[in-house]
Amino acid sequence: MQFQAKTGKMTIEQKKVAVKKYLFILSIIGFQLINFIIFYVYVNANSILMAFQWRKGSGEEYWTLHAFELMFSQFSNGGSEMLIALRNTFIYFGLGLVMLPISFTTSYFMYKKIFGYRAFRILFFLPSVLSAVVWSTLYKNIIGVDGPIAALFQQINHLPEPPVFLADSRYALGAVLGYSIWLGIAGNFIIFSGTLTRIPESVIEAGKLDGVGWLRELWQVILPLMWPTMGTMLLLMTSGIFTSSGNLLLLTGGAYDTNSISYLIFQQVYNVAEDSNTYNYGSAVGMFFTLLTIPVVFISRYFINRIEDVEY
Amino acid sequence: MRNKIKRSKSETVVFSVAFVILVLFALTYILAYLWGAMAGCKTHPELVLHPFEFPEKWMFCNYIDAFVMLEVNDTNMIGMIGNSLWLVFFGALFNVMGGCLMAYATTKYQFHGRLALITINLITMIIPIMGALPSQYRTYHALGMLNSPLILAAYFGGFGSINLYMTAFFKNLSWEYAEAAFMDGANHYTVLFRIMIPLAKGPIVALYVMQAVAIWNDYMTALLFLKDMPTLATGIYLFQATTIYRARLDILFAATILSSIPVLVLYIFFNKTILTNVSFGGLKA
Repeated sequence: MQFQAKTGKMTIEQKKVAVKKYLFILSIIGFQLINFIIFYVYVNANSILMAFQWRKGSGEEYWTLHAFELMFSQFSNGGSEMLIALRNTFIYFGLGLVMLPISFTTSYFMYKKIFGYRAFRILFFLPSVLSAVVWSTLYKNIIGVDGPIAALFQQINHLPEPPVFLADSRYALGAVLGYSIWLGIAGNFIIFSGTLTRIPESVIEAGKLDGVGWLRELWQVILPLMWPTMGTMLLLMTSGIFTSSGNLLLLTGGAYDTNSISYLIFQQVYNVAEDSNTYNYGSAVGMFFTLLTIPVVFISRYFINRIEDVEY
Repeated sequence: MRNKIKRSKSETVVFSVAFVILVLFALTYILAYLWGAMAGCKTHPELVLHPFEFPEKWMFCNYIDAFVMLEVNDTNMIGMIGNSLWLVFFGALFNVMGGCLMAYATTKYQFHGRLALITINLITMIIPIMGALPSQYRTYHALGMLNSPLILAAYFGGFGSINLYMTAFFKNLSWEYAEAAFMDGANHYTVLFRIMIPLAKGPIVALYVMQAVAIWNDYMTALLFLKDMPTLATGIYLFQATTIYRARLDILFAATILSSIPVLVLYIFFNKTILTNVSFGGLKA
């Protein structure tokens, strides 16, 4: 049920009620609307304009397609940072897709009260609770040249020296992915757990009384109830395909063939003077990939909308 | 009395295998964290030469020294904690308030533009616009938000995940209490602040804690927009590029572990609230 103003001809009293309602609504969403206009509409509109601008040595900006020309020249240049970033973006996205059912499975076991689930619930949330700065600092040192993993790797592969995983193009991408797998096993744990705990106990109990086994319960009761949430997450993930990335700033700084598209854009701003043309280049790259995202979103939404919404 | 869970044979086998895998992963988290805590108790040479051995002498004083020695851009650890605290407190408050009020308005009221707002929320969530960072930086600069608490204005948004979570909650929240209150002469604000917000206390607290943790751990915002006001997460990252770092790796670990304690405490107290109050359903307009 919602608060509805009466339609048709309104009396003065009804008009007063409607005005009060609108003033109330405006008072609780006004700030957010201003925020949206400035930080979303203006920022993005300006970003589009920046993609078509370039700065002369004198500082004067002019309209041009130069940023796009530069970007496309990167595409045709085999082995360019752009191509490496694009390839890696797909790899990071693929890993995200693989980790989604894995993290659901982890949440499922805790929902089904696996032995020690209370402790797991705290421990598996640690990767989300503690800063990536903390984890990456620990990870970098544990897999570092003096660490046990490098020593083990050296022995297994009979290498003359322990590998420097995060500073060697042969291993760096694997090491970045390893970090995501290590900490991602319980990714989305909060959302999955929240949704699982909302499943009415009566539904599960009714299944049990009908002699439904655990596998059938998972497949035919729990998973269908999870689809709307899972679908939403899949949609958000696929529509963010070009934003997929590893934790590059903290692990490799995008070096050693680990770069991604979103990090490439970040590099155009971070520690770069504000009047630099890299800002325009970053805007052009961003605009191009946002346009590529739109058909992906529509295709994803088509499939997601086929999923029955379940209210419980 | 605790109910013992009965499992079938196949279930027991699968759950046993899962248990072993979960234990192994959990152990890696615990050991990594404990190693970090131990590394913070070593001397620098010891940490470089024998990183995985127990310290000869436990240097707990490193944890106190970190408060002074962890210094970036003329801000020491105490200053960084201060920066983190105001950003976390107000940032999470504005973020949750903005999303919650927008979700309440669009879920519980019929008004012109309501559908547009719902559609905007969907579009902003499902089409992530890339490459706006350069423009964002210039806009913040133009508005004087760089290196200023004015950055908090950017947190008062109404769209995004908070809106999504709260929309799911408000949709399932009965409007009958509100109707009864309106009949008794209550106005819109009374209904919102005296009835609906208290009823939504669970998810609001859960989202606030989640946002607080996310902002405490966010190193990117301060790295880009608050260079002269580094937060603790940013400070620890930037410290690794300083010269002191090369001589005092122990301080880095002590500070890293110290920075994690507030969020750990917060999570231990609120984990049940978070895990039982946060969920969302489909994304259909």
